Amino acid sequence: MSPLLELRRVEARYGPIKALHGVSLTVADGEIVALLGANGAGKTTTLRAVSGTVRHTGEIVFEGKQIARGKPDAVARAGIAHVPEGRGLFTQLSVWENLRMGAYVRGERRTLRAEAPRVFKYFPWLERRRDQQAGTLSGGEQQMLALARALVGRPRLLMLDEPSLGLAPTVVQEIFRIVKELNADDGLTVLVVEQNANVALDAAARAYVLEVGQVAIEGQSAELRRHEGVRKSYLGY
Amino acid sequence: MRRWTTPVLQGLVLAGAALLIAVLPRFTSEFRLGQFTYVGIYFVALLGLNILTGYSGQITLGHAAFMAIGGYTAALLILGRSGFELLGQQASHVLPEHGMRAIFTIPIAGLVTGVIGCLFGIPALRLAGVSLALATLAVAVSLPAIAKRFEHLTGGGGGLSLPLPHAPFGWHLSTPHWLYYEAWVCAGILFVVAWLLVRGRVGRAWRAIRDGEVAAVSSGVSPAVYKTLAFGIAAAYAGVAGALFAIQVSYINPDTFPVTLSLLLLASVVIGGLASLSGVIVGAFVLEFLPIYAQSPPLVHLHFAKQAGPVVFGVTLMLIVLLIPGGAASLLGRVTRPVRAWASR
Amino acid sequence: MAQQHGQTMRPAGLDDVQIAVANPARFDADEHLAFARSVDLDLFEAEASDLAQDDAAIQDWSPSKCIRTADGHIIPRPMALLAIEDVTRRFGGIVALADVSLAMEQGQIVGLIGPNGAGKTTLFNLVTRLYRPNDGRILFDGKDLTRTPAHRIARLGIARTFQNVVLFQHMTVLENVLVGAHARLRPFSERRGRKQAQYILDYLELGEFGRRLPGGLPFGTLKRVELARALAAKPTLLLLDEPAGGLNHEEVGDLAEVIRGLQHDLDLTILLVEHHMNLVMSVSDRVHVLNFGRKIAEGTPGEVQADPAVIEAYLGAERVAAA
Repeated sequence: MSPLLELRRVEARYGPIKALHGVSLTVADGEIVALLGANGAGKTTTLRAVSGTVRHTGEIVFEGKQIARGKPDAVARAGIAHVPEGRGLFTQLSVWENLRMGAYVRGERRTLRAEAPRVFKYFPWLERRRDQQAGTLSGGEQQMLALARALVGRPRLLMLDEPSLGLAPTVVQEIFRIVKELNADDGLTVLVVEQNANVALDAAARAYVLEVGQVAIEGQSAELRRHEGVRKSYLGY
Repeated sequence: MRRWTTPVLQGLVLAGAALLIAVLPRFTSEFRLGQFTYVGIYFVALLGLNILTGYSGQITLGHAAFMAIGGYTAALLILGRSGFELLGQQASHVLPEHGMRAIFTIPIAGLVTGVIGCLFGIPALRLAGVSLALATLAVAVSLPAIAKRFEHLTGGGGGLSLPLPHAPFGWHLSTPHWLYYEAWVCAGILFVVAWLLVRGRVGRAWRAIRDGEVAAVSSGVSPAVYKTLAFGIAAAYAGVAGALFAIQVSYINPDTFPVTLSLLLLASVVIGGLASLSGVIVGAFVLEFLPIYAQSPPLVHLHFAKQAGPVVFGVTLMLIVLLIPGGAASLLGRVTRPVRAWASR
Repeated sequence: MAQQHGQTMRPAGLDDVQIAVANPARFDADEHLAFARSVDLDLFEAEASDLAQDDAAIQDWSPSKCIRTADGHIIPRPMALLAIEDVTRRFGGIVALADVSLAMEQGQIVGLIGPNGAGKTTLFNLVTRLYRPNDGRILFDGKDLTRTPAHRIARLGIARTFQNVVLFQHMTVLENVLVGAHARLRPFSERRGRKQAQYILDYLELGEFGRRLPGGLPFGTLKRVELARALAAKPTLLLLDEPAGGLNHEEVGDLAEVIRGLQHDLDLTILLVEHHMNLVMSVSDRVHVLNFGRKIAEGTPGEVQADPAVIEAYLGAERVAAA
C-alpha cells in the first residue's frame, strides 16, 4: 500500500542556515507516527515544510500527489491539519469562533453542523464553554481547543507540534489518550513531534529520530524503546 | 576577528558623504542648491520622526505640527517686538524687545519644541497604535486654527514675514550658500547625536519597548521615561527643522506646515526604512524631489501635469512600498551585505 | 492571645512560642511582643539561660523575625530572600491566587508546580510587579515590593524568563542580552557591556548565535537566550518559567547541570516553574504545589511526590505507576 504522506530528501533553510539536510520519511494511512529529536534537529521545520509555511526542496507526496509548494491554504484544503508549536489560537475570538475557523476549509456552516457533535464527544467541556474567549482558557484547555479546531475540518492527516509543551503531566496523558482514541475510532492518521518520548512512543506505532536535519534512527516504537541511544537521549532509563 | 574594519568603513562612508555635501554647491545652480537645502531640512525632521516611530514604535501623524511650533518660535525671536512694529502689528509683551540673529534661534526653537514634545508625550503614554496616531493627528489638525486665533503672536492667517536672511559675522557667502551650509551643518550634528543615541543603551531600550514592552519592563526599562524621551527628542528635531524652514523661506503662516506634510513625512520615513538612520537620507530626497518630478517631464507630459501630479506621486509611493517593503535601508543592506560580511569576518 | 496562654499555665511556656512561630499568620506581631515579655523567666530556670543568650532576639521579637531551633534556642529567623505573605490576586470574579505564602532563602532552588491555570505564572507576575496583589505583601530582601514600579524590579536584583518566550524580534540575540543588562549599564560602558553579554552567551553555549535574530531559532534555544538575558541583569533572584520547553531528555539533564551551576557559581536563588518532573525533582531544595490558586503542598521533592493530593491533582496515576 502506498503511504498517505511521503517525504523524499526534503531540504529547507531559514535564510543562510540550513535546517533540513534531506529528510525522508513515510506515514501510512491510519498510523500514528512520532518524530523525535534534539532541540534544533529540524522536527518543527519538517512539519512546516509539509504544511507549506517554510520553503523546501525535494518531494513531499500526499495521497499520491505532489503537495502544493508554499501554499499553506491549499495544503489545508487537501486535508492536512497542522497544530503548530504555541497552538496558534485566535485568542481574541471565542471558543466557538475558533471552531468555525477550523471548519473554514470545508465550508463553515455545513461542516460545523456535521462535525461539532463528533468533536464535542471528545471534549465535552468545549460545548459548555463555547462563548468563552480562547485567550482566557488555561494552557491545557487551549491545547485541546487547538486540537478540536483541527479536527472540525475533518483532516486526513493531523500534524501535532509538541502538544505537551507547557502542560501538566495529567493533561499530557489526557491529550495523548484522546489522540489514541481518535486513531482507533476514526482511523485518524497522526504525525506528532514530541519531546516527551515516553508518551509519544506509547501512542505511536512507529517513530523517526531526527539529528541535525536528517533521519538518524527509524523503527517500531518497541524497537526504539530498546535502542540504547534513544534510551539515553530521550527516555532516560 | 578584524574589529577595526567595520568602524573604519563606516567612517569612510560618512567622511565621503560629508565631503560630497561640502563641495556640492560648487557644481550646482543656486536654484538646485535651494532644493538641496530643503533635503537637509527634511533630513533633520525625518531623523526625529524615525526615532519616534521607527525606534520607539510610536506612530505620529502630527510631526509637522511640531515643525510649526519650532518655526513660529524662531520667527518670533527673529522679529522681536521691534520687528512686529515694522510689520505694523501690535506685538505681545512676552517677546523680547529686539530680534535675535536667525542662527541663534535654531537651538532655542529645538529646546522649546522638545519641552512641548515631552509634555505631549506624557498623556500620550496611555495611547498606542491607532489611538496614538489619532491623537497626534488631532494636534496637527487643530494647530493651524490655534495659530490663527492668537493673532497678536502669530500674525494670524496673514502670517509673519521675516527679514531676508544673509550670512552672519560678515562671512562672504551668498544667501543660498549660507542657508545650505546652515541646514546641513545642523543635519550633520543632529545625525551624529541620533547615531550616538540609537547605537547604545537608549536605542536598545526604545527598540525593546517597541518589540515587547513586558519583557523590556522586566529587564529594567521604564516605558514611561523612554517613550516620553522619544517624543521630546523627535519634537526637538522637528523644532530645529521648522526653524530652518522658516528661515529658508523667510515667511511663516498657519499653512506653512499643513497636515499633509505630516502624512508625507511618515510616508518618507517608511520609504527610507524604519529604524534606520542611513535610510533617512533617501526619504528626505524622495520627500523633496518626488512631488516635483511627479508633475514634470520626463515622468509626466506637461499637458497633464496639473492633474497627474498627485496620481504619479501616489503610484510611485505604492510601487516603492511594494517593491522594497523594508524601505531603502533594506535595499542598502542587501547591496552592502558582501562588504559587511567581509568586514566582520 | 497572651491571656489565653496565661490561663493554660503549662510549665513549658516556650512551647507556646514555638506553636506561635509555626503559625505566624494567625498572630499579630504586637501581641507576640507582649506575650514574649510576659513569660516569667524565673519559673523556668533551664530555659532562662537559653533565653538570656537569645536576649537580643527577644528584644525584637516577632514571629516573622525569630524561630526556635531544634535544641530549643530562639534565634533570629534567617531572613528569607523572598517572602510572599498571604498574597491574593483576583481577575474580575476569578481568584487566581488565594492566600498564598512562600518563602525562599538565599541560595535555594525552589520548585513551583501545579496544573495549568493554578496560578504559577500569576505568582511570577506578582513578584515582578507586572500585577499588584489585591491582598498580602511580597518582601524581597526585607523590602516590601508592593509599591515598587515594575521597571525597578530588575535593579533590585530580580530577573525572569517567560513561559511563551518574549524576545525582541528585531534585535540580534546579543542585543537582546544587552537589554537584560539595561539597569546596570552606564553611559560609555557599551564596550564592556558587549563583552559581558558575549561572555554570558558563551557560558550558556549560545556564542555562535550572537549576531542572529531570534526568528528561526529553535524553541529550546530561544528559551536559553531568555535565560541569558535574565542573567545579564546580574540578579540575586532568578524566576524561570518552564525553561525545559523544547528539550529532549538528555538536554533537560544538561539544563539541570546549568541550573545547579548558576546556584553554585553565581550564588543565585532560583524559583522554578516547570512541568518536567525529572528536572524539578532533581534540582529543587524545596517544592511548592499550587492548585486552583491555593497551595496544596510544600516540602522536599520526595515528600511532595508521595503526597496523595499532589498525585491526584497534578502528577496523575501513570507517574505513580512508573515510580
